[in-house]
Amino acid sequence: MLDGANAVSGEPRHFGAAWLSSSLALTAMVLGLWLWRTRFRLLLVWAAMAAAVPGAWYVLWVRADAPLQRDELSSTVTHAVRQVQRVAPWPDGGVEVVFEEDDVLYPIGRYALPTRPAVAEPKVRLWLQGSSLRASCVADAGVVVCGASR
Amino acid sequence: MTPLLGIAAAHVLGAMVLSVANGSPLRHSLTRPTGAVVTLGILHLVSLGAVGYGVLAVGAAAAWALRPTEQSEQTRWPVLLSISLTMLVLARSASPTSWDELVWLGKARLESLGFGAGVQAALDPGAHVIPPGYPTLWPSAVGWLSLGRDALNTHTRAATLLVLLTTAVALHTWAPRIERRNLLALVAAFAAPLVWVHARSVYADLPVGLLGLALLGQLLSSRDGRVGLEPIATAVVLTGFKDEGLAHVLAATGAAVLAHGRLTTQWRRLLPAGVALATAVGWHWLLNRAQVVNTDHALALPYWPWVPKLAALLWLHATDIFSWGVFWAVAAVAALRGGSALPVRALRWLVLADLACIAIELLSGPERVRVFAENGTLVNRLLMQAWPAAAACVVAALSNSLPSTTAATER
Repeated sequence: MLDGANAVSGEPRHFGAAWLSSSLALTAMVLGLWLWRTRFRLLLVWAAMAAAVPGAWYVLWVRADAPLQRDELSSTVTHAVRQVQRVAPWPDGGVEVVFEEDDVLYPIGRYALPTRPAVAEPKVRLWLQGSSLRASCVADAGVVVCGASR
Repeated sequence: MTPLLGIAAAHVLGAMVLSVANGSPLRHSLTRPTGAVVTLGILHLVSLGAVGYGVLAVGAAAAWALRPTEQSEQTRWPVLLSISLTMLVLARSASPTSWDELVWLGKARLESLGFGAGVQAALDPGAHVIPPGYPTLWPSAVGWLSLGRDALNTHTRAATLLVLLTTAVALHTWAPRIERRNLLALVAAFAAPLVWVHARSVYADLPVGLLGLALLGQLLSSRDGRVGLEPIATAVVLTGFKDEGLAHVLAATGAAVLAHGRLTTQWRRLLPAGVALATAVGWHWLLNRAQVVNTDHALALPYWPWVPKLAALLWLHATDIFSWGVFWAVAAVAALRGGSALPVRALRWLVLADLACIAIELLSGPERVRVFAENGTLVNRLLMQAWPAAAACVVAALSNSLPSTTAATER
């Protein structure tokens, strides 16, 4: 949810394999420039395919949105969206968002409430927290808290 | 089904407009995937109110100036393949799973309140739409294709169809230009795992890059520059999708002019960019009048001390084996060794222009943008916008140098 589109490994700000990656890229470039005008230029294509295997493993197997896991992730996200929409109807629900953490429920809150006009007398005061998509929403002292399920 | 009806209606309406604007038979226009792009461009301008109508008039004048004097060759579009691919893609689970997808699709819900509600909300500081001041066409188009239906799976499918549409437009424009098609060249171009992630998401970065590539192809489609309505529509839609869209319009226009050589004979190719600039100026005028400030994309003088950091970030991201394999290394080789034929020459310029735009956006943007880049939430998505041009360059260059596996059936 947070970094899935920013890097295949889900860690766009950590380049743990930087030396390996840089070495492979430089090698591919040098070999490619050398082999381009020879009959071995096909090796460049094979090198590209081989270099895509680690990322392919992540995309097809490891990531939460990999084909065999995507349905479960999708249903979890859909459930979380419905939970928030149930307690915070839009556009006429009179909802005031009093707190939202910069985490997985933030974009879900933004889908449920794309506009946030000021409400003089809110019917619902919404609090979004936590790092889990398996969220439920409960009323607590006049505030509806949506966060990790207990 | 609703988004399929929506895109079908947009396609037919746009084909009718294309037919009139280009003076071509309707059956000819119906075989071109740009019909829906034309409709989206017109709807975007209409949604901007009086300002949009003004730009629409400018666009109509430009379309008249660019009216083709001879019929372009009819290209066969693989209809059955397109339908099969669309069904296959739509059969997957229809729920977004990433941050920006949910934020953007949330804004698509606004169109269920009425046509143009997205623009009205974006121009209302009290509505607290995020990010403030961003162009509205991507989420609005999702809402329009959803025919006003407010449902997460409907919006996801509509956005997926938009991604497919931009892919179809780019392929339709460039496939005839690759004289000797080679499957291995395609494999090398697609050996970039992060592209597969974006292809199955509804982020706007890949579509923006694909439309930029398509625009270049459209601008090259006529020797005398009378390129018709399509590049105008593509340029307007690009500008409306994202702020970076205008940069892609300028990059594609610059690449087309440089590939052909002399600016003095290429003035017609500048007209779509002129309409795009008018669209951008109009949007920013509306933002200023509404006192909505787009803090994310306000440009200033370049922050030169950040250049070494920029170079390091671009290198680290582009060479990340998991996200890109060795794609960018292959693309660099293709650009350097690809030869001087017009397609490769133009694509080389487009890749350079796209990368230059990335540098300018990061150096001249606000500090917040550089923070995003250092946090890893920006550079790869900007590279994703440049991927289509680089991939096309790889295909064109490798196809020229590898033995052909299929022959081009039409130019």
